[in-house]
Amino acid sequence: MNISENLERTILGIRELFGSSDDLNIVRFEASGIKCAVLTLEGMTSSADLSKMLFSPLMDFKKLLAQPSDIYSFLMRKGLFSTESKPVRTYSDISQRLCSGFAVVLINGEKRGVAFGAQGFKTRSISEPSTENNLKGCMEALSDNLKTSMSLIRRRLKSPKLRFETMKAGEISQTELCIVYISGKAPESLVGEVKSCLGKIKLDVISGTGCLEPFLSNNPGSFFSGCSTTERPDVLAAKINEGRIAVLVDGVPFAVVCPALFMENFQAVDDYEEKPYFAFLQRLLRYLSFLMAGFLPGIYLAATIHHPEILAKTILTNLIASEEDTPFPLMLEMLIVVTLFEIMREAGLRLPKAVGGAVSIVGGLVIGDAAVTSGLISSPLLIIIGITATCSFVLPSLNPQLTILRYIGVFAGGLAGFFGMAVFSLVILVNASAGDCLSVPYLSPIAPFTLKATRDLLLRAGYRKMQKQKITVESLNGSGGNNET
Amino acid sequence: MKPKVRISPGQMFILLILARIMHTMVFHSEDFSAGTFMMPTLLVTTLIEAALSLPALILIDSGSDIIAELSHGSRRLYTFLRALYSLYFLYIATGTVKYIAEFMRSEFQRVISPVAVIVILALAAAYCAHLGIEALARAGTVVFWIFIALFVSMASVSEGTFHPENLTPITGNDFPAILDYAVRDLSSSWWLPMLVVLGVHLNSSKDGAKKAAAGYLITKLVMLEVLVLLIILVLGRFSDILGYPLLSLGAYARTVFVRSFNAVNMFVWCMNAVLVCGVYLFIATGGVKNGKRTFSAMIVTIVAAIFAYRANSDFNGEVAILIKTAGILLLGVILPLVLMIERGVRRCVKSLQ
Repeated sequence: MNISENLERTILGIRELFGSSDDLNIVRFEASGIKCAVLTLEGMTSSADLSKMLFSPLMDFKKLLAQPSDIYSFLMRKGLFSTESKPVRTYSDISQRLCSGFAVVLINGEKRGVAFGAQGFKTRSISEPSTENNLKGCMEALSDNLKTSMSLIRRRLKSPKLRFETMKAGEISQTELCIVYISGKAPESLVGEVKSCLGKIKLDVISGTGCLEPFLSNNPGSFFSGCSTTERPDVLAAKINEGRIAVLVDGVPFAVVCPALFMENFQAVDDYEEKPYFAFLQRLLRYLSFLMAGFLPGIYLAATIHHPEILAKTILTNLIASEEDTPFPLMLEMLIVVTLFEIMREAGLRLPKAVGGAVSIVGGLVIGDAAVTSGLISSPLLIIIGITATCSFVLPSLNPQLTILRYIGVFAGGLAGFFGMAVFSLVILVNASAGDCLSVPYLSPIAPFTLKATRDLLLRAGYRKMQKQKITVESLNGSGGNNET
Repeated sequence: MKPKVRISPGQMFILLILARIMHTMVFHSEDFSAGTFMMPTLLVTTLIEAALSLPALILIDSGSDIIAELSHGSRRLYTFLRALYSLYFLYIATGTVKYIAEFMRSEFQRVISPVAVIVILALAAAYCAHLGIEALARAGTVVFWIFIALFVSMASVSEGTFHPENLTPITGNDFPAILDYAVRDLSSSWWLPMLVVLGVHLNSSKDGAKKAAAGYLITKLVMLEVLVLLIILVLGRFSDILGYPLLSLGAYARTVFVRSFNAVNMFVWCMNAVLVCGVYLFIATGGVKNGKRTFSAMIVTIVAAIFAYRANSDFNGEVAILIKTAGILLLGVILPLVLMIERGVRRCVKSLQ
């Protein structure tokens, strides 16, 4: 609905729209004898900036027999008040601008207003990454403020080909999203697909990156996610340089990157700071950690309950001796310890940092030691869980999947031995193989196999080689067909 | 219309070879006896297979959907031909599931009941089939590398010794055994009908089907020759009384930590079993993602496999060999040949006009 020429009527309409919300500030003043009003939302604009760039020039504006249009044209064309000034004609325009931290100037007798970017809300300063720690390299994390995050990326990719395209999502929240990609590297079809996926979101509120991921990966039955998140601008810059697309969400210091590949979970920033042979070793350890974190409890149960013939005699006798005194069946014992571990991990995450350490003391020393001493739980089983837990910390991005894998593995291995483990592993493998995000297979470059792209799989190729061969997500489809992007 | 989901010739080769490995691994026959005569026989049968595959290969590489073209737009004929392929692969899937159940009963009796094996295997295979051929083909690549890793690791820690005296020369007395083995080997060539059905899913790379078939035949020949040689050299006449000679070969492999590789072997074989049965069920459902069809195929497989297990049906007996060979010849050779002849006649008539 268009605003009225009558200033008071327009103000009344806006008051009704905001339900007389207390954070709506309306400052009335006269410029050259014409009634004007400046509308802002409390805390969203900078008062100092407003007084300097808007109020002072307007107070100084003097014109004989001034008309409302004179003030409008002074604000829009003659004066230089802000880098962002937009005309507003409707109530929804005004509300959107106000909610985005703009100041809206309304003029009595004029059917248009002017919105000035004067954002001055308080945001967290740029901090160090908390979930993707590194030893060397960049120590900046993306910010809650979209504009700050955009600037952090721009500082790393000083190219006009870097594109930021903003759009809104969330019926009520009207959250600002920003699609980030490099023109010429990200396929146009992929960019279009991302926009179309985001356009289909009909959620009321976009509270975080988790709201976007299901719409972007569009694999309802997939066990793994086709999108990844990062809080590091350097990682984001590297990923979009491979032709990927990132989506920033206003108010969230993480970006969604798509398409994501399974193998990327095993890469770390420090791999690219160290010598390739060291990165190779690190990656090998991460792959091993994944297998142990997901499958070790199941394999242990399968081997001890159903296939003791597989184990060497000394190991077997030790196991039998330690299991003899425990009251529970091995599988139940394993389930209890796995569940206790998950509870302690959850408690450690939710507690304040100062108290978090207490959880490990209670868990590790009190429960662990007491359980073994009292004969409730065998020590080999605790060792297995200890190894499993440590391995799961190596891959935080895969933690939800690893937790589920561990539980299913316990049931499969405990009930059906290696047969159960084989069926379970294959089903998970086929499920992961079926997954793709934006038509890029999740398991590439392993399946479908793309030889060129394997240089960054186990071995981290040297930078000399990297500058010769540039890999993009487009080249990761070895099976042709509908994955063509 | 060509399906959207595609696989590469490499993935096709892997699916075919995994199906063959599956068959070879769980192959079990009461009167099986390994001997030197098997090695030249394998070469001859592989050459026969290569010749038999020509019509299908030529048609697939020319971009034909053999079943669709043979039915000439007739819905009924198309459904009938599809049903033939479905029935054949349901039979093969049933046999595979039944053999795995039998293998588990005889080698890992305490682990899980055979009926449970049948049900779990069919359920998992149906789920995998429902995810589509592309997913199966991609997973197949990983399983193939797992097989290679298993083979290499077992070979490197094996304590088995070769006995060259086991390599006895071939004599005239071996002729019946040669004939029997040749028939058995040819009756295991259901990669031909597999190729006909999965051919439509091949991506557009040049001579994709030929590459896949050549890869399959060479790998099959080398793999089987090596395995036969190993069985003869290491096990000798023991193979006559061993249920699963390939599993017994693994018994020689041991490390300080892993005392017996039997369970590890079973782990990989069962992974392969789910994958291969998934491919069979995918073919049985007509090569489309259809929940109802997959569910029906799964139920049929479970019921048939339980019945076959209880009735102790022999999928390597004379009747079974007859059914398998007839299926291979009809679905993998004759139907493509008919289409080829028909095309040739049509071309001749056109040129005469």
